[in-house]
Amino acid sequence: MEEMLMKEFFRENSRGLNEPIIKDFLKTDENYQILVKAVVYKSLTHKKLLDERFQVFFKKARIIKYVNSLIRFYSIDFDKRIRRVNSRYPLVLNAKPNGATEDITLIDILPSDEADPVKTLLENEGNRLKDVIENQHLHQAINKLSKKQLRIIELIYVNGLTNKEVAKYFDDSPQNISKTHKQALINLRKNVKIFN
Amino acid sequence: MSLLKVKQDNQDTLPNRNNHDEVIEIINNFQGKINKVLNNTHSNDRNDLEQEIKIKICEKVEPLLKENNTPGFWEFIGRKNNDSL
Repeated sequence: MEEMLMKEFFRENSRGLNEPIIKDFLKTDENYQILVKAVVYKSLTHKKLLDERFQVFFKKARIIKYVNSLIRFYSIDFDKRIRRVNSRYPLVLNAKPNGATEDITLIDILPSDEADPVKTLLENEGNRLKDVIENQHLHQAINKLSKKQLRIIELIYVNGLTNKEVAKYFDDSPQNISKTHKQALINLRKNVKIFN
Repeated sequence: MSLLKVKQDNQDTLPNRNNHDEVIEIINNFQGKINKVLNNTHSNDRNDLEQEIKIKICEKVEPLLKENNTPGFWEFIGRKNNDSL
């Protein structure tokens, strides 16, 4: 009697009962016995009990599956992240830089403190523009410039600095330097005309 | 009214002692798997990775444990029976 009812139940619900999770769930003898009681005796309490037990089981299975893949993929992502950070902030200087084809090390391509153009200029102010101007009118015109204008003209044309570098030298903005530079040129042109 | 609501919300978000134990149990159960994936990274970073994985598990599993939409046994097989028809 009991067996027949169970067989019929399994036949009717074959698709649902063939789901892997259900099969795993019913592998536990306790769960199977509850199912038998629910099917054969149509016991409501056992039906409810089975529901509750399945919910716990299903939730757990879901979480285990989720955590399993979380651990796997998180470790891979983590390693990628660490590698990226390490390549950006190297801790040793005698390693080969990323993507280098030549035989160089990181220390070879670092800018040196000694070669800082602004610093060398500060120590060496010998290249006075006025000393090298031969044209008398231009010389007079240059004398009319303000101290800062003269220094900017000197740095740009004698020392070949860029706007940015001059700005760094004066601790000023490049825009301001550009403006002063332009004004200095206008003044020079005007003064040369006057002295002519 | 609004005070009552805040109180309720707070109750929902307060760490549930029961859930905590469950999360710790899950982490302990997965210790072997975690040890295995530590090989994915350099030996200097393994402790960091282990810690971060555990933090991640705490963050992600806690809401999953609170979730209430798990189907019951009869609902599940009923749905699967209909699915394939």
